[in-house]
Amino acid sequence: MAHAHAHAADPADPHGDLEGHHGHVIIPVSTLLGVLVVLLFFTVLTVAASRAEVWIASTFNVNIPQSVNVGIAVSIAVIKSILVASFFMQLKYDSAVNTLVFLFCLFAFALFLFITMTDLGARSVVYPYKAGEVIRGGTGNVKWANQPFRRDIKGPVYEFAAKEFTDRVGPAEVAVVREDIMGGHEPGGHGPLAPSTANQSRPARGLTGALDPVPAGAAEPHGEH
Amino acid sequence: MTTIDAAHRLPRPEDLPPHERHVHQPHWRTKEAEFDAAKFGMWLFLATEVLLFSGMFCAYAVFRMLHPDAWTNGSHYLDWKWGGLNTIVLLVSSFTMAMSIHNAQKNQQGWLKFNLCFTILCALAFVFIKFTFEYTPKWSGWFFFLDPALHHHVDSGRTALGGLFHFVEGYGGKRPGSLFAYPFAESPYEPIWWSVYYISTGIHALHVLIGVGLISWLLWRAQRRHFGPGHYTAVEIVGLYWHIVDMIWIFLFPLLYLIH
Repeated sequence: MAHAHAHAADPADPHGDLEGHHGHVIIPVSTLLGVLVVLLFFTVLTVAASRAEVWIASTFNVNIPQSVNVGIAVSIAVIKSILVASFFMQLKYDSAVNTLVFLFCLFAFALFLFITMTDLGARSVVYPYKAGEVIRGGTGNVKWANQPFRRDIKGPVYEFAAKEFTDRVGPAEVAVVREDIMGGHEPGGHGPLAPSTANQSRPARGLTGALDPVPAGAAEPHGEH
Repeated sequence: MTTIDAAHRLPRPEDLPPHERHVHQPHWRTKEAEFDAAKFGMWLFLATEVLLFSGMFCAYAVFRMLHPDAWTNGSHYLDWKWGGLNTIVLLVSSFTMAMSIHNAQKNQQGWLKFNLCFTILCALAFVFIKFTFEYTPKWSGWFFFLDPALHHHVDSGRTALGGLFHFVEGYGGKRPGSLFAYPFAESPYEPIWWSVYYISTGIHALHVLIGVGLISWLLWRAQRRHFGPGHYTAVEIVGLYWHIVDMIWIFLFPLLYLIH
């Protein structure tokens, strides 16, 4: 076969230039299978870590910072990526120049992220009022009213959505649907959200209250609070 | 007629399978040089792929830092079971892709085709799960009739496509940006979460579909015995592409589904 490594005593090619130095490594099935098993194990681990955080937060009523969540998730993902790159993508057996290209690209990515985060995190250092300059209400701003679609949005888009829904199904039906969508089921998953409780770490800040139940007679069911 | 016994004659080039006939292009010194250059070129392309997704990861970091509550609330709409299943599907497909290179190197033509087919099926399963159980209900409120989450909700009774999809009132409308129409938003910044979610998973899903096309092309060529120990460059570089798609999902899964 063409990838034989017999270039030791070839008088026409004493340095093995014509044979290819690293050649082609055939990675054994056992190695590939082992890597797959480890990758699946780490997938289970990353889910378990996330579930454990939720359990710890709700059982001991502590608020685990998001950095812990992100740190664990990204660390496990990095280990998995190193495995994929080394064995499935064969960087372990390859010319080092391919690894170099990949690492340089990751360096550029890190720089990109680092400078953005530094900017964002340091805006309030000189002038504290610059910390929270993004306005409440997301993208449903007036300037979007000139879009060819949804041109009727005049305020925050979540308020618009709530009003549109109420106008369509009626206030009585809203309560029924709200109970179906929001109530009674476990948090997470494909299902609806459970409201925050004393033992649940779901943050209360930032809730819109756009469709909160209102006392009878209140004219405006979707005001901010 | 010829007097030489056919069994003792060297095979004519046209009798050989294409992978044994492969000759490198004249501007390369060796077949290996050609192979290494193709692989290096693919790595350069993969670097641009990582930079493409780096923009989305950066947007993710910026908006999660600005509006952590929107991320916590938004992630609760996602089911880690579908995300986890899709992670397993992609990891297994990465394994079968690596196996198909192994098969080409060992001239196991049948297994090569089997592993390529299996990889395509995994890719299609990934996209099917993504669209049927995740995008469609969230975007529109229409649930696939086999979706286990359908039984957690009050079925409105409206069906589509001959009963394949059932409508749940109030569930849909979880859309990006100004298309947002979900009436029960808990955070005012949820439309931004959905923008980041749809753009990152959407472009990833597009990559999976492109992968289906590329691996189908490999299968078409494998059927014609284009790949074997002497030549399998295309299998190797499409494999690299497929693994980077897998690697990006390895990061997207915990960052989108496992937040709380």
